[in-house]
Amino acid sequence: MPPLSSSNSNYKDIGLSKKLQENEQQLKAIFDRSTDIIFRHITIHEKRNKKEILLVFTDGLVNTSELNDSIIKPLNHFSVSKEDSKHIQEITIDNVTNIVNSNEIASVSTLDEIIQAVLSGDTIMIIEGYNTALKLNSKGWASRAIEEPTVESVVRGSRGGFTENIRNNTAMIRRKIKDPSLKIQELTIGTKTNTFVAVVYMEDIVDKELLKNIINKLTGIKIDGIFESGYIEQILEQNHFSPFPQMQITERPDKACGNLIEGRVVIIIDGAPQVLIIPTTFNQLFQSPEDYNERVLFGSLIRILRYAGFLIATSLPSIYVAFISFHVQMLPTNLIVDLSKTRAQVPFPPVVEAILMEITIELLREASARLPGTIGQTIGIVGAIVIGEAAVRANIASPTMVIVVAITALGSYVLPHYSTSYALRTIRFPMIVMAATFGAFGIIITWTWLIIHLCSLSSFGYPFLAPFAPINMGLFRDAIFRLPLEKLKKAPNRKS
Amino acid sequence: MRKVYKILLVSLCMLVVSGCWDQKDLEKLLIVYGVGIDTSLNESTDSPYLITIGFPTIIEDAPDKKMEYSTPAKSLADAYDRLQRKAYREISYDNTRLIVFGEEAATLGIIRHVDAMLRAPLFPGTARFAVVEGRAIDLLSVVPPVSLFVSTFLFESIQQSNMSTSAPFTTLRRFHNEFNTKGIEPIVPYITYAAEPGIIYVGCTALFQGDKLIEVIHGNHSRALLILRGEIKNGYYTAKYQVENEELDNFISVRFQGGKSKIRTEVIDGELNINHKISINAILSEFTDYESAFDSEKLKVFERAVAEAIKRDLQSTLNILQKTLKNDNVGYGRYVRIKHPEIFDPENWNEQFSHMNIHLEVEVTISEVGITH
Amino acid sequence: MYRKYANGEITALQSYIIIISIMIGTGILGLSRVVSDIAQQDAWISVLLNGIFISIIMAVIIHTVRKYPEDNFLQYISYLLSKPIAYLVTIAYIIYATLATATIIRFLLEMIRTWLLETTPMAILSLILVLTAVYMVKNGLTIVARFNEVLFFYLIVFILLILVALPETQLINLRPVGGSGIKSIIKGAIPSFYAFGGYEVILVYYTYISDKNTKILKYSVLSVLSVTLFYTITVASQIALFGPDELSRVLYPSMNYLRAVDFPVFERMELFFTVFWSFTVIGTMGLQFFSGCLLSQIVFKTKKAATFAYIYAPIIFMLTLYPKNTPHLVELSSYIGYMNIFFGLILPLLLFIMSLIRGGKGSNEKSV
Repeated sequence: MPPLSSSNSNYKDIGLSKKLQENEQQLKAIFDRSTDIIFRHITIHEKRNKKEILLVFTDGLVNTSELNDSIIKPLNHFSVSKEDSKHIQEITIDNVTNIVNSNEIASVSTLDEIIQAVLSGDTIMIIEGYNTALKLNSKGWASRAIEEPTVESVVRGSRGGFTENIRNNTAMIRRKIKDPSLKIQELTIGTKTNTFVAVVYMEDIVDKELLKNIINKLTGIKIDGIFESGYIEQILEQNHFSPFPQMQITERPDKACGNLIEGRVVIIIDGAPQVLIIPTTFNQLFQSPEDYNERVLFGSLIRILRYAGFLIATSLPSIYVAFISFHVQMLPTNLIVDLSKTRAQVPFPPVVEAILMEITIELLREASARLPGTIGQTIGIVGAIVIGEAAVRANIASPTMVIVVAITALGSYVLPHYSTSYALRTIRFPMIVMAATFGAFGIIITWTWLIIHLCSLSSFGYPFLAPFAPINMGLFRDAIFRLPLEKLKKAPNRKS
Repeated sequence: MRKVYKILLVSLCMLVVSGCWDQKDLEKLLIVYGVGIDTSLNESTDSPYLITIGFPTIIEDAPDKKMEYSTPAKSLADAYDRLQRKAYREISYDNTRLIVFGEEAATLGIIRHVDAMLRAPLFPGTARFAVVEGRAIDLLSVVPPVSLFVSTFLFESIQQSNMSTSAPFTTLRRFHNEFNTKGIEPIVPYITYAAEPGIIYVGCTALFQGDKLIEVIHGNHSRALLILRGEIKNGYYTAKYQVENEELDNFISVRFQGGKSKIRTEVIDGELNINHKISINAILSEFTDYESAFDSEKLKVFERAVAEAIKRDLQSTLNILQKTLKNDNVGYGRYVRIKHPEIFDPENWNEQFSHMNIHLEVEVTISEVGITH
Repeated sequence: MYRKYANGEITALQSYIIIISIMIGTGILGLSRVVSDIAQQDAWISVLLNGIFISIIMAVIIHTVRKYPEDNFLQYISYLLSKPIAYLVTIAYIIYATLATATIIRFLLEMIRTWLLETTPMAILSLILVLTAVYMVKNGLTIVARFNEVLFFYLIVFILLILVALPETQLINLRPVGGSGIKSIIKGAIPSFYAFGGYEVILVYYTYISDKNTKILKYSVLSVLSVTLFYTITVASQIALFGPDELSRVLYPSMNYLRAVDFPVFERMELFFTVFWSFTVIGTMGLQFFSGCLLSQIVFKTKKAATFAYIYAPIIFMLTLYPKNTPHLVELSSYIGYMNIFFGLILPLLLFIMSLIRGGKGSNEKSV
């Protein structure tokens, strides 16, 4: 199926001429000063006369050995061999497919399709006397081997992750779902980059309106370049200023396939290993494939732990500030004297202390992400311990504050979906400020605003907070607890 | 419309950041652990009470780990004001653990002080009440040998005494409850000093009528009152046991495991009779005559002996309450009020109580004998 | 499901939760004291009777409104009574809703000022709450309903708080059961009516339920009964703890109830109660506020109800600052109580009788 092209529109309707010379000149003019676009002439000696064939390909994007063995060699061989020339008298565009060994051959006639094909790694074969050309698949370029995704590792489960090659990724999905109703629809997005984007869905389960909506939105994108799934995510999402992601990203094929079977749509972008899953709900940000691989009890308990981690990561520093500054009577009496002593040595009010420590932790986190490999990890660990110790010793922070900050940081790492940690960090700071001004009331108000925001958020028309609001019993089987797999067999009836 | 949002947002931020009105940082507070209320030593009517507070000093370099401040005052809230002038930080009463009344102040009535405590929303309702022999200021200055603050020490030791059925456990909330409820009068643990210096003894009960202290009972009477009230928990009880041909007295000790008290009323010949049945579960912990106790007949004899002894104590305590004091600290009035509201007179119940026929019945069940024969 | 939650529609399950959520509000705080002043130790029986009575009223309401599923508030009232009366009733309801919202906000502020923040100026707190209310209602009914659905889970925690002080309760305080006499028990039901108030909002919201079915009657009555059960247990446990004598002196028995016990980790449970209760009250406030805005939109025929949210917000803000202190507020709220009786009791009965007389379908009927 030829990809829908949304680019190179200036070459759209220009066709080829029957003269090879003109075609070559035109193409050479378009690809002027691109020395990696190779023009290879092959002269075929037929019984009566000679025929010129031009091969156009991009060096670096083609699999050179395959090009040589499967395409150039048979053509050259044809000239020499007497055997083949008994059956074929003259090379036409129809019977050259019998000579050339290529698994994918398509016919192209407009210039923009030719350009697209050459730049994607296919080889274009133009035969003298014909105004259509053949596109032969010869893709092959250096790509990464399949590795475990770094931020989504699991203890039990497959260790392969998506790579940057879209064909590899679709292949990994096909290997998990061997069903003909799995459809992979390819689009080209980006006027300059012409990136391949594949929309993957299960035909009999997916919601047709949702699919139509997604494809309409995708085909309507007018942007210069798409490099990563994040670009498409930001274009497709409904609310740009919400801290929460409205679609999931993942590098794991089992997560993508699990979502496909539940009726969601997966968008794969060539060049990035992260794929998008649309639509998503809030509790999916807390799910990891491990929940399903492990047994019911642990799956449910770990999930509850993740929710607790979410609550801790957003609220613990603000609760600490509220208790120390406003509601001293909530502290256990045995603790008050010690707590008071340590706090008396710190010159800053608890708010300033909290914000300072939080900012330090954020800096540490960013720094350890930028530094290469082991240095980054070492800085992370050493920095946390040393800075914490030194801060206490220098009376910049109290030991309780260091513990609070450490537990908060831990709590934000239990979430399997990495983008949610940004959400947590964004929410934490305003909550600390509100807690510092209004105490527990500030925390109440911040949570109220957060819940109202989550209630009004929707991911492609599906309410974000389902199944909590609106309560949908079907999805509830998988929200906080995870019921045994027998009860989860059917995809949740999302049409209810 | 966008500009309006921006202005609104900025003004909101300014409001939020401009002031934290209620912020009371932990280290800027003076946390009071114990409050003591006495009558003032000089006889001026202007400030008849002496209020003391005991608190830890948090500062590392302070010479004392705890301090007490006192001030003469008209009432508790007046004392709050005067004490603040002496204090180096803002005083916070939200963690008070103990409220002590000097004996004399208790006799004059304590409800006037309680109102300030009840009205403050954050004053803990579980602060323990106690009446001390002598003056409260002396008690708060004591450094008990095993703990830094006498307030926390007493907080725990009242709990322990209550668990061994020796002294009642009165909190601010309970006192207020019993004071307001018609048909029962409050009781408060009474603290004395033992013979050795620095040892505080919690084993007596102060009896109140309304909010005034009228009597202090000690030892077995204090325990008996608790049993009458039905608050039977743990604790040892020793009863004399007569064995023939023995010169020294022999004793049986049992350990309480809890019990029930059942009060029934009935009207016989127009007279109200109250039947009070107390059943106690116990385990045998000592039999000083080195004989076998592993015999159900013998255990029944033991049970009877202990029950007799307890009943004697109960009867004598009840006599004190009925005849001498004319004060119902046990709570018979509540049952009468429920069953016979036409007889119960809320204003004069204590008078009626003193003429009431009350029959006591004690039953002890020994359920275990330990691991020796 | 994709299209069902366009703004303005709620499911049947959300409507049950709305009923429960709007009833549990500010009334629960002083309910035991107010009723036990009259009915003494049998206050819980009064509350129970009141709840059963209100569930009957709820059945009457649903039965009446069910006949006109496509009509909104103004339309079916103008069908049953006449058009000018309908306009009058609607405008009266708008005023009632606005006043009720202001009262609720003021109660919440009183609680927060007493227990949490003592010095913070009332104006700032009121501003924040009014802005929260505006944010909640500006996106439509669905968002308000979803918010209350999320809060529904908090109510479970609420219920657990009742168990906290059970060791200190004395059942003798509840005896003799029935001793106060039938008359005072029934008289005690009248002040508890205000605590149950809010259920009449289903008159406004019924038409927006997207999957109306015959079970709505059963489950709405069940919602009222479950709130009744919750209130009864609360009142009974509070009487058991305090006894009718002390109870008359305690202003907020629900809070003082938690002051009775020591706690291992957090010293005070009152803070937890305040937090969860604040969430519930904010939910109630949003529902009440939105009903006023919705009716204004119907009467004045604007496109969105949110425009009225912006208009009413400053009015409500002014109103919350008006009462001087808590006794003043209680006096003013008794007027709200009268209006509540009208909208909750008299209006539904009137509509029911008229619907029996008039019969037929409403003015906006397509098909049943």
